[in-house]
Amino acid sequence: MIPKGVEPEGVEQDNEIIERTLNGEPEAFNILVRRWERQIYALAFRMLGREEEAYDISQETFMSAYRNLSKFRGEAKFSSWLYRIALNCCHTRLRTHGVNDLSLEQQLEDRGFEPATNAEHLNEGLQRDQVAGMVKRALAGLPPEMRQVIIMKEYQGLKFHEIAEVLNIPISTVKTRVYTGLEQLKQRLSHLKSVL
Amino acid sequence: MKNQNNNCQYKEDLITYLYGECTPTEEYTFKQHLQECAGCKKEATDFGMVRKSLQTWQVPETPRIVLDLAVARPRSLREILQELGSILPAWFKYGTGFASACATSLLLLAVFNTQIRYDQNGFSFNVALFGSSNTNQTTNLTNQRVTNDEATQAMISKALNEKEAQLNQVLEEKRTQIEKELRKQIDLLTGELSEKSNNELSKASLELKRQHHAELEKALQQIKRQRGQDRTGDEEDPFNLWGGIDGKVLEKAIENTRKFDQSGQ
Ligand SMILES: [Zn+2]
Repeated sequence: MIPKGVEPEGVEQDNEIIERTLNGEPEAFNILVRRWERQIYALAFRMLGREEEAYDISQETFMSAYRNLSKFRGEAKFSSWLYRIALNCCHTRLRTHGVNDLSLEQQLEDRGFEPATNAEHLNEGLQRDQVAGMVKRALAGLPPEMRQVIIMKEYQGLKFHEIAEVLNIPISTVKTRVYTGLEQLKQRLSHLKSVL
Repeated sequence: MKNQNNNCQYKEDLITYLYGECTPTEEYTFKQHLQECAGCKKEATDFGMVRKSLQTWQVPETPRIVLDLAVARPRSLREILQELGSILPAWFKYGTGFASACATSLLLLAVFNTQIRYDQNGFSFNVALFGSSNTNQTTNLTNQRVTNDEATQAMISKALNEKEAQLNQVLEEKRTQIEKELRKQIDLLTGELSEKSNNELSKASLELKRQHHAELEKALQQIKRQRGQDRTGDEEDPFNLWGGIDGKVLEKAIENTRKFDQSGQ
């Protein structure tokens, strides 16, 4: 029986690859990039909302992990460490851009968009894409600290204790943030009720 | 939009239940609670809807992340020590335990413009942040002679920690200051560029302003990148600075070490 959370035999563990990388086989790191790029890209994309930025952040994350690899002590999971680096990069970008939102353009677009999208316009014909667009905007409106837990829970499928490890906060705090996040999303998406 | 909060104390349990992370006992207890709590029951249904709608937002296809691993090869401590071994004086290479422990510290101290001298009494060192030209930031942490290896080690480690904290603080202050200034200039220029029409500004000056704007943005990006790099990784790591030291700085550090070593002889 394979214990939960452990890769099946034959698949090289993250820690083994890290060791190989540090012992003079730098190209081994690419295995880790291939293994985690989808998750990191998805996380960055949902945090920032733009494909180019998601790519930049992913690259920055892996590069930073690579440079600092000797500092990874293996106490936490490699993926948790990676998520943490990625989130740090995202927050730095969000902070220095001076907006809590996906982008300035998005904000402007929202202003013209929001008033029109009330219940009367939402009918059976509402496309999935449109709903997705509203979800994107609703998420973008959450404070980043809340957005990140919702993203890790809903899209990355992390367990509460894993999110707690990534953010280095208590599990109960994670749960509270998820609750508040869902509560706020519920308000922001209330006009969708009739179509779902 | 008025927030109709559910004021039930079982909020955390509701979340645990919703995401299927309850133990069987917790699940049983919470299900019982759901029977009698209208607030939680409604919240559970509403949250279910929210979660369903969240799933409509899909991520576009992930591009392949390409890294140039050759430019930023991670250096193991062993490699750094090996390199140090080739340039450090003979005394340093003896006594592996102690030498390894403080090789790291010495290199870092060299980076911080630290003077290290060694003679028959042991060695002394003098730490000056950003050189002695700026007296405000100069710190004479220690200037004493020690013969006891353990005491030296403790001293180095203490000095190192303090230096690192100070350095980080000064760096951050400088960055914030520069960033603020850059932002101000960018905002000013942005305002000018958007307000004035092409007629009001000559074509040449408009182009000049645009260029200036781009340069400022570039400088700002640089600051951001720098800060981004410093913030990543494990903050509790006493050798956190390794990640931030690039080849050039390292070369300079090594050169400094060599110079100090020569001057001490
Ligand atoms: Zn309740």
